[in-house]
Amino acid sequence: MRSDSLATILIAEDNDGHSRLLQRGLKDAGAQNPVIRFRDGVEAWDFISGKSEPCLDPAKRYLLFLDIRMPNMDGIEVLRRLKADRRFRHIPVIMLTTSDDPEELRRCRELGCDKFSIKPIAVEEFAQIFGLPLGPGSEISPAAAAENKDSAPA
Amino acid sequence: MKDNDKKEHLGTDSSGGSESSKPKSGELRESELRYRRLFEAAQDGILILDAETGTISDANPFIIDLLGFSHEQLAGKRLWEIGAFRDIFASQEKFKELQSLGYVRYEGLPLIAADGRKLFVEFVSNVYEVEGAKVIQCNIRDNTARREAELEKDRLNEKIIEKNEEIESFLYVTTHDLRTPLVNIQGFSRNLAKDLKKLYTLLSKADLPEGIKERVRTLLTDDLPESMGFITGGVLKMNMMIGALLKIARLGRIAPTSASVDMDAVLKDVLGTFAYQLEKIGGVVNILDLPRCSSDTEVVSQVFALLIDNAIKYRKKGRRLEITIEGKVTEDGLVRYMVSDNGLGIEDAELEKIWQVFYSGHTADPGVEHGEGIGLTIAKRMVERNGGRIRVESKEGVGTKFIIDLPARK
Repeated sequence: MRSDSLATILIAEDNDGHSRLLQRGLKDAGAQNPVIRFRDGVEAWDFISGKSEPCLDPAKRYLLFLDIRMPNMDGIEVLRRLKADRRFRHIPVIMLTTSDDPEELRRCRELGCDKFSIKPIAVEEFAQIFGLPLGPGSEISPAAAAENKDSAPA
Repeated sequence: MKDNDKKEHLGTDSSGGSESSKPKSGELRESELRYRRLFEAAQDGILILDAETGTISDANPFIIDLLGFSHEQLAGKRLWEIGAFRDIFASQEKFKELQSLGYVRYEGLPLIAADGRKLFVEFVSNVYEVEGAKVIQCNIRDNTARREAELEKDRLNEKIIEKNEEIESFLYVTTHDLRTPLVNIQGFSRNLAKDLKKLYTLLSKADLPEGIKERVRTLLTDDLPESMGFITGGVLKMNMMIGALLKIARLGRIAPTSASVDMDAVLKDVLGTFAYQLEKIGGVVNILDLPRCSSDTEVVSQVFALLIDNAIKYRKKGRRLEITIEGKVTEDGLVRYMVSDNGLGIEDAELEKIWQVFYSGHTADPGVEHGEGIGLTIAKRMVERNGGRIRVESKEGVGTKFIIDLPARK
């Protein structure tokens, strides 16, 4: 199956609308990657750390969209745990926020986020996101799927 | 007079009775009477003590009234045997201090009246000699009302600070939360616009009956885009306002630092960013002598940048823009900076409104470019958070002068 060779896109976002917007944006930008959505930080971290079933497969590649403000565990905490763990720190993390708070941006940079995006993400920004390296030895970005962009509606 | 007689008797009695044993001249008695009257009528409490033993030999009506102990309860007792003074003189340390120094003064001494009322007094004692015997005079001024007013003021101040913090945090949280639904409106209306275009392309290719095709075309090219246009415009405006409010709210969350600010360096930097604009419009900036102030350098730089930006925005067309920046140290330990221009000026009726959030001046003037309408709101907050003040003087058609007072020293 084609999707097996594609990175899996993880979305940790509590707001249904924001999650739908992101998925539609990804689709419109040409990504056909499988998507897994989590409703809060705990769900996301349980998946990544292997506490839940199914969970993260070390043989596969991932890309994480992480909302900052979420109940139970916020995105900053998930980011902190992920980047502090050598097993997961190669996973690119795109922090999602509703405002351009310089303090939040500084915190996320400090913790090692790979990108910081204000919602809703503009179409042009996806190209940049697809260009993020997916980890050591990985040459193929999820944008590989975006090559057949003509399938995207004009 | 009866009351007086009794006290006079008590007073003389306790001072050793030496006076009463001698016959008094008329003059002496008259003078004694005069002082006695002063003692009686004083609007401060007075206690006379034996300096050796601390025994109270006399108490004036004011102290009797104030403490609620009768003359009998006071006279003959030692100071530390009186309930009101028990705590203060319990160790008798203070009394020894008084004996050796000959003078003590307590600014805010708490006392308990006979009925349990809490009093706050100023207590001043002197030791002096009366005909060979050492006497202590204690003057007790009732400062309870003043003290209570001060406490009340402190309480109110604390409350204001607390409320202010509450409002700051409320402003930040609500503004931030407003962005969440707005992201949905923004994102989904963007999608709707995209989908409308696709729908139009699809339907224009479709084979629809003539009457229906025309109605669909009107809907897709006129009605729906018009609605979308207003939604998008509204969202843009709202997004800008929320962004502006967030900027203001964030100011309340950052504590300004304080350093000696080199104004010449600050203005050199600030003017550097306006060099191109100033050259384009042929404006000049005169910088006179600028003393240093003690403030947050970043804040000072932003405030001056904003004032210069405003001077450029609200310049008078056909008149060469001239901005003068000057400063001086004032008598009350502040540094006063003045930024004056020869621009459009501000109408008297508008003068107070310029600090309000989302206010923009000269909105009817097509030649004026408007910003978010938060510049001066932010400038005022910044200056005030730095322990300063900012105000404005202006004459419509002539020019505007902003006056900024900042602390000269920490």
